[in-house]
Amino acid sequence: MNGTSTSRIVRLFESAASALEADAGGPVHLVRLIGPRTSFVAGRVPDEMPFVASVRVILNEQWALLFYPAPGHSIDREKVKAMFKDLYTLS
Amino acid sequence: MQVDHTAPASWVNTRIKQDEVFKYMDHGRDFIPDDEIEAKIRVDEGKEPDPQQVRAILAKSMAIKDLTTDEVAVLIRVNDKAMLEEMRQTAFNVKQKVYDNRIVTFAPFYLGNYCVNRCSYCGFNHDNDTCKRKVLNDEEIRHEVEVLAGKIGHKRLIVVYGEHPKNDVDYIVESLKTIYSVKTKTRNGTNSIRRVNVNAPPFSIADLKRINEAGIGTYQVFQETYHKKTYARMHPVNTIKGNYNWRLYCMHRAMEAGIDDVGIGALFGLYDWRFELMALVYHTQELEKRLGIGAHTVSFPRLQPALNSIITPDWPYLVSDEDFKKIMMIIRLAVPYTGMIVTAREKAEIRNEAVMMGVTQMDASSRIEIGGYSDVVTAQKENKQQFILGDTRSLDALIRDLAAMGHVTSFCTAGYRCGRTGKCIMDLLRSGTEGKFCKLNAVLTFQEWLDDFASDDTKRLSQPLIDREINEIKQKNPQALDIFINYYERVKKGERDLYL
Repeated sequence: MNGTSTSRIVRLFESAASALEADAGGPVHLVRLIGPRTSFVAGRVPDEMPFVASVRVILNEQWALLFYPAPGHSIDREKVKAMFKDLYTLS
Repeated sequence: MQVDHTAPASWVNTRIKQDEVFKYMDHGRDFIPDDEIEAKIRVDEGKEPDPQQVRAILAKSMAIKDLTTDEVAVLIRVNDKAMLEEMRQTAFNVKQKVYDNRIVTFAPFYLGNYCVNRCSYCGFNHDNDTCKRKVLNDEEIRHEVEVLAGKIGHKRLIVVYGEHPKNDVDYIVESLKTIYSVKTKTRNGTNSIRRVNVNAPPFSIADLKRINEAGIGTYQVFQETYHKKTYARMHPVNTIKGNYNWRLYCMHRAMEAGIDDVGIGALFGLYDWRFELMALVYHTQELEKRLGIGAHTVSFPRLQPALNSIITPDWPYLVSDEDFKKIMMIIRLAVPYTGMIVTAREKAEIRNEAVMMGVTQMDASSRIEIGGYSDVVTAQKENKQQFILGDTRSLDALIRDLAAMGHVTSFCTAGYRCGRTGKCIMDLLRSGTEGKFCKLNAVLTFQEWLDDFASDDTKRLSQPLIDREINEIKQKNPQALDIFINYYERVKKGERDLYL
């Protein structure tokens, strides 16, 4: 994974972030999956993070999104994956 | 007969990539201005600062704001006992605000003591012929981890490597995979090592990417001494470690390689502790300014005797207990959000005091000889260890002592698993939110450990603490209560590795 690919993934995420947050009712983070480690890459970090079990949508073996949904909100995983379908050509 | 452990010149000569130093420098200048630091610590030297000025600085720390180096210099000058106690109390309160009443525990795990360097103060010095050299193979690593995770109950390690082809990047990557792969049964559940922090030499960006891809926690490299003349004296110029700036800029390279949790430190006692303390602050500020993320942890080991070291009892910069306590308080006040590690180099009495000064991480049941955890001989072996331990308390004993002081022992690795790393966790620590996660995960992992490993005495002493913590969660963090209770009940029934 080179720097160019990472920048494009971050840009893709940032362009979708508002819509993702609106659906989830809470923060959404782009993370890198590195073995047992999940590393924060991008996303809004509010002063009060919700105390909910995060919902992980894996985009590919290196990238995922972490959602912190508000009560009453659910995550449409297939819709999310479709938004990031271009990701598969960037890995 | 000692085995020749000299590394080939072809390996040594290609380690340092000068372009990976110069690219971060400011017109050829590094970020440790020796003269400026010396000037700051000499301003009004010996003169007690104005209490109002000190209290204003303490208030700034309490607001979880980084101190300037001028403010740190003021705190260094404080010697008045009453004001020192105010500083101590504030340092403790800052830590409570950011991290709550938890102490994270871990174990040091030395995998290899081959080293090409000739550091004057170190027992692993290449020229130390009495040091028994060893690097653990895969099976030996597994045996060690089975003891660490299966018998003692650790879930976090700091693995330590010398600088040598025998424990180079390939070895580091493979050893990390081995460590993470070991699963053990416990009294009521299972256990494994969930976070491996790495204390290793500085590497190139390419090598750091490989280490990062192995899933490390924090990458930790200590500058040893930031004072350039002392550095040159301690580290011969014809060694890899003799290159000051290669070491100084390794965290810049690490972050460029994608490692977002880095640990810095200095070996206090090589030079004037006031200089080193200031330089540590300069270092974390540089990382924050240039890369957007300060140090995840700061370590401050104090020079202790080592086999065949040049440091004698009359060495002029050895740090007294009182000055060591000042160092801890001031680091906490200067960098309110950073993790602070006090290791078992220090005596138990000092470490207990350190808890009340704002440290956040302590090791226990520590063995620092290579292969020491599965070794049946319990005495420390000076010719296999880098230094001598001051605190030999077992993990069970440390946990009991911390519980008596009202502190939960945490084995939390949630941030690392949940994507709360790097800039994210720094922001959450500053805002006070991460401390709430700290409490939840501390109680969950503490309960796991009590159920799987604790002696009857420790269990009995710890239960009232757990009850108080749960009550506090009910009162101060009610929005987390439902999910916390759900996870807590599941842990009590034997489920493991639940985190928020």
